[in-house]
Amino acid sequence: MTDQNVNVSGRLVVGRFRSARFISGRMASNKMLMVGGVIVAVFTLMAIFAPWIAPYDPLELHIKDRFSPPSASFWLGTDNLGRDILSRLIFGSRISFQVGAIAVSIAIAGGVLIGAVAGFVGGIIDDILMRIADALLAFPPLLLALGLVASIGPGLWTVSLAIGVVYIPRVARVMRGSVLVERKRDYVVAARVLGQSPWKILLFHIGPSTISPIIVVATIIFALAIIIEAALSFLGVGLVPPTPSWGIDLDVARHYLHRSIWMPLFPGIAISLAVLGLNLLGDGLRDYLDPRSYSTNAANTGS
Amino acid sequence: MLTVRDLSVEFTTDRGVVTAVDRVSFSVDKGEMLGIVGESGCGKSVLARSIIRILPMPPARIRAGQLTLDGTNLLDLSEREMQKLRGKAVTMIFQEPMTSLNPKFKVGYQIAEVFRKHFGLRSSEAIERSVEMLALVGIPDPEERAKSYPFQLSGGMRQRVIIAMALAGDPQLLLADEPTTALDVTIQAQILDLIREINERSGTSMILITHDLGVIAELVQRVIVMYAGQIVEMTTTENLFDRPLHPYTVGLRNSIPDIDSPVSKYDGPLNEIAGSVPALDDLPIGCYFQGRCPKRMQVCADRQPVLKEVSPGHHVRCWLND
Ligand SMILES: Nc1ncnc2c1ncn2[C@@H]1O[C@H](COP(=O)(O)OP(=O)(O)OP(=O)(O)O)[C@@H](O)[C@H]1O
Ligand SMILES: [Mg+2]
Repeated sequence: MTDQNVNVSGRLVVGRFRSARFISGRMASNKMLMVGGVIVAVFTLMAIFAPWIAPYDPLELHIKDRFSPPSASFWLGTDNLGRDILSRLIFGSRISFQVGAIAVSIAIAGGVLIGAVAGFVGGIIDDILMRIADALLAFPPLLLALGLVASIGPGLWTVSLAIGVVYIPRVARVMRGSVLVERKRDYVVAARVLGQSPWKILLFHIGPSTISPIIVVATIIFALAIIIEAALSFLGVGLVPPTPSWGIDLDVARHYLHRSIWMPLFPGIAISLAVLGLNLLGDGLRDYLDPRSYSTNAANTGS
Repeated sequence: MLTVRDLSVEFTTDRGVVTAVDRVSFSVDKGEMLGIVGESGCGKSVLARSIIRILPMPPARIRAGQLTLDGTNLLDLSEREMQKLRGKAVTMIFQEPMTSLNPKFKVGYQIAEVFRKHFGLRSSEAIERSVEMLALVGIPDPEERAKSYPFQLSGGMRQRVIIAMALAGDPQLLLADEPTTALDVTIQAQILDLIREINERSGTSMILITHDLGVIAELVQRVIVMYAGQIVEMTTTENLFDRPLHPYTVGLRNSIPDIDSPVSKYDGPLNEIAGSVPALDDLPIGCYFQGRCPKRMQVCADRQPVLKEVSPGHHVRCWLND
């Protein structure tokens, strides 16, 4: 038996593994991934092409058609001022996804940096950073974001910034966790004894393996950002009317519950659907990118 | 070349400070291959890792009267300076070929990294050199193999790649921590041959850690036997097999089948050493081996024997040889 034979059989094992257990185990997560991906893709397209898709200007008042139910001219009806609900929903997705994207960028930038330093440097720096993170994690995110927005004022950017900052500790925790796991890997130690510099090790050997968990947490934070923006706007401290935010529309609808069921219904559905899609995508990605599926794969190629 | 005098490594644990390596002294000459044997937990890996300084500190603490490699005092170096020596002056290979390579990069690229790092070669040149290295460690079709990912290679092939990486920096000292333990027997023999060949051809000094006396018999000239962090016997391979002096060495010796003689020839019972290694935080006063020693005397419980040179180059830590 030579090395080469082992190698060939090693490949066969991979092949068999892929075709049977491997694929079937991934089927479930693939379904979540697909459904979530489609929902998120639809919302993303809506957000990008809002001006071309929306039948009306979201701010345009159709005074004669206030509180109209779904009809041929207003597919989802109109609100208390006669604005087209569908158009507001479509532009609302733009707002939600803008907030989500900005908040996630801030949370990832801050969290990845802090988590990487804490996990890689360790010692007292790690202790201090993680103590602070834990303290911040003890507060409900909505409350923290509310406090922040209250102190820096309403608006798309401040709301996004506040939400992003609130989720920095959560990303930092995830990042630190995977750095701690990765730095103990044999090939990281091997890189050290070959004289690689800490930076190179962090970037080349540890960094790539932290991408999957970060992508997963980013998707989930995206969903949470949408909820929090809606909640803040609903509470009247987030975005300012007449911005077509789902949260604002819900808040307005609250006052006209006796006149229109459509006004609260559709923004509610939009929020639920977007969040559901993002969560499905996140969970699907988690299973799909799971490092364990990577290592079982590697372990099964053994001689 | 490498001189170690009174090297100790302590770990601060929840249950107090334990000494994993206890005042170890030895040296390795240029081109020499030194073996270190001993049961699991006796401190072999910690010793090697303390030489190349990759122990986590804290909890580890290294102290030494002397730790010099080619005249450079390793303990005086900053982490930065040490980093320059790693891979070039001293390097290490590990037991697990399956996990010691980064699964995300091609093996040729991983070897090339070492050339880039230590010799400042450009990428194309570095890749060329890594193909040469693959050929040197006996990998067929190296040009193609350089483009493989680790998962496409067998264990034996991977260990060859790891050896190629270690040799890329042309180190003076190679620490090999059980380099063949994870491989199956035929491949083991091939890798050992390769290690011997490299040692003979490049004159790289090596410290070979193993708990397989068969490996010792095949490869090394001199052996250190460790027990509970201490050297209990240090001598030539010949003496180790023919004239072992420490009861622990005798036990180790008897626990393997005689290599040269046929199995049928009765050469004393094939025995495991009774009992187990005492915990590092619960070591007895006196000799650490007393609890398992068939030749225990009163003095063994009272005072700890010192490592003594009983004949030229033959050191033993045992009251029997006093
Ligand atoms: N980070 C650590 N913290 C505390 N104790 C440690 C640490 N690393 C190693 N030790 C202790 O040091 C002792 C020696 O361990 P070492 O890994 O050197 O043994 P070994 O001889 O290499 O064994 P094996 O043959 O199993 O590889 C062990 O008792 C272990 O518990
Ligand atoms: Mg070990």
